[in-house]
Amino acid sequence: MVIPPYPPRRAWLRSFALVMGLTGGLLTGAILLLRVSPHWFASGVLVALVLALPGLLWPETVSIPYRVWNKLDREFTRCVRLWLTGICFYIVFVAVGRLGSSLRLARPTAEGSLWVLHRTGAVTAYGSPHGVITAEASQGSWASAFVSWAVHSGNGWACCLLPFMALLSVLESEQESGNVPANIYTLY
Amino acid sequence: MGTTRALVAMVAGLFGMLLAAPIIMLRLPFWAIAVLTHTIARLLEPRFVPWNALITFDPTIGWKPKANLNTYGIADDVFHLTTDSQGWRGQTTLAESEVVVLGDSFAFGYGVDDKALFSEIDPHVRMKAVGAPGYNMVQELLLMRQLSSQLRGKLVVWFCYLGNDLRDNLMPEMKGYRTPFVRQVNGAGAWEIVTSHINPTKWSYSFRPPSNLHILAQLCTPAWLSQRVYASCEFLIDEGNKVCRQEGVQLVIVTIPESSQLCQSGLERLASLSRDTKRFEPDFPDRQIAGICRQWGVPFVATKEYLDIGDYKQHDVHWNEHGHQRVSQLLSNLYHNYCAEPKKGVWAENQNGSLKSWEKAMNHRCEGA
Repeated sequence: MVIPPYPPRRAWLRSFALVMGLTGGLLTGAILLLRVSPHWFASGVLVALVLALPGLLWPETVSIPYRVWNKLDREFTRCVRLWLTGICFYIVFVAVGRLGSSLRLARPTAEGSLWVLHRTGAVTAYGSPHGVITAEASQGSWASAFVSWAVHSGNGWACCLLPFMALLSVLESEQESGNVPANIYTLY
Repeated sequence: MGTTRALVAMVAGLFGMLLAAPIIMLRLPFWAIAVLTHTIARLLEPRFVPWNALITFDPTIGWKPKANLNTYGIADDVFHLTTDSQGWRGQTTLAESEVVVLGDSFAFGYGVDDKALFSEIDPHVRMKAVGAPGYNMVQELLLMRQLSSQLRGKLVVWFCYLGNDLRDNLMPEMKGYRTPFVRQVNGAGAWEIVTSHINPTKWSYSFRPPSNLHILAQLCTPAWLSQRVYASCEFLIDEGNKVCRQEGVQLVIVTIPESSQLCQSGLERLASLSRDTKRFEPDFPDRQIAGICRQWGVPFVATKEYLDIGDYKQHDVHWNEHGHQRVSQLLSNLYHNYCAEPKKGVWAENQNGSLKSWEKAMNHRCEGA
């Protein structure tokens, strides 16, 4: 998810003022249209201008609203992530867990061992936390790699977690910096 | 078992998605605002390049700014910059200039538009900024030697940024870019400049140096590292002074503080990073360099006495436009004191008195004028 960067550059402040102005204008126009009269819709333009102009001309004037919005956005995103992970842990995992576990958690018998045989992973799979070789893992899509792992390891039920994982990845709290990476060497 | 588990998981997943839907819907306005802001900002903002896209390889100095640039750089905000046929910023040519300023990104004017650059502000004094992002004092000395014949009759001001220049003088690289550096000759107290490792390939090794602030904190304390750093600095200033004397040029050393040296909270943080807090002195770097300059008869100005925290960018280490204005004024004053009205007492006061008294004398003279 794109969270506007902080500290903001002038272009971001201008853009934020413009977007907020347009949103405010549209909302006001719509409310007046529905509640008062269709003729009042045009007054939304005035609201948009009043909201957007100061920020467009003097970007610093919107730095505080930008900061507040940014903080709200960040906090709300954090809550959504918490809510989604809570659903996974306390609903999906609990429900599946009721059916038992394939993990051997009990103490082994005197002759038994808890060692689990693993095959050697492919070179491309070394970054992966699970030991299953998947052709898709090397091709970049985490979703297909996850599905492949779930199918190959007999954990097909885990595919039901995919929508949650997709949402969590979209809600990645890392903000967009908009900067060019600084660690690129340029003198070759 | 597997099918049952999958069915249960599916039902639980659907139920979970139902629970998640309202909060996802509430998040949508934030998402829409963010995407729109992002899209419009990209349209409003000119394309910019990072600092290392502004430079090109130089076999002696390591790198130089590219010639004839007309582009945008990025510091805390996007700024417009142009360079001349030699790669230096500013409208004035080196030949036309009366004041030549050598230095790193501060001399390059990193972070401000061309029109706000310190060298472009005073129409009465023609200044030339000769610097590049990331330079250390060794590179600046080599540049001074290269340009020595063109410096005749000018005031040469040598910027020394206390944030990293002093330490970088001893380092063979800067962020993977090979830099000339100084080292002590084995078995003797003498120093030498090393350039044999300079080539266009990346210097790769895994050492991760401490932050600039950590190093500066150690340089504010008399210790082994600071002794070594100031000894190398003494060598460099002596060499620079020799170049200037040979050309009959007046050299002035100007130290630039790290912004944390200019506010109480910054000083407290700096002191907390020092390994010897009892002997921590924020003015130690300036006093050491002032002592070196006094020894070699080189005028010295600590801009710490001239600038304040408001002259620096909030989210970047460089000066803002106001800072450039102040530096421009300082350089104009220096020019008037050393070149326009030579041998009028200020220098004698600098040699015998403290820096502050020299500054006050200079300001008093300027105000009087």
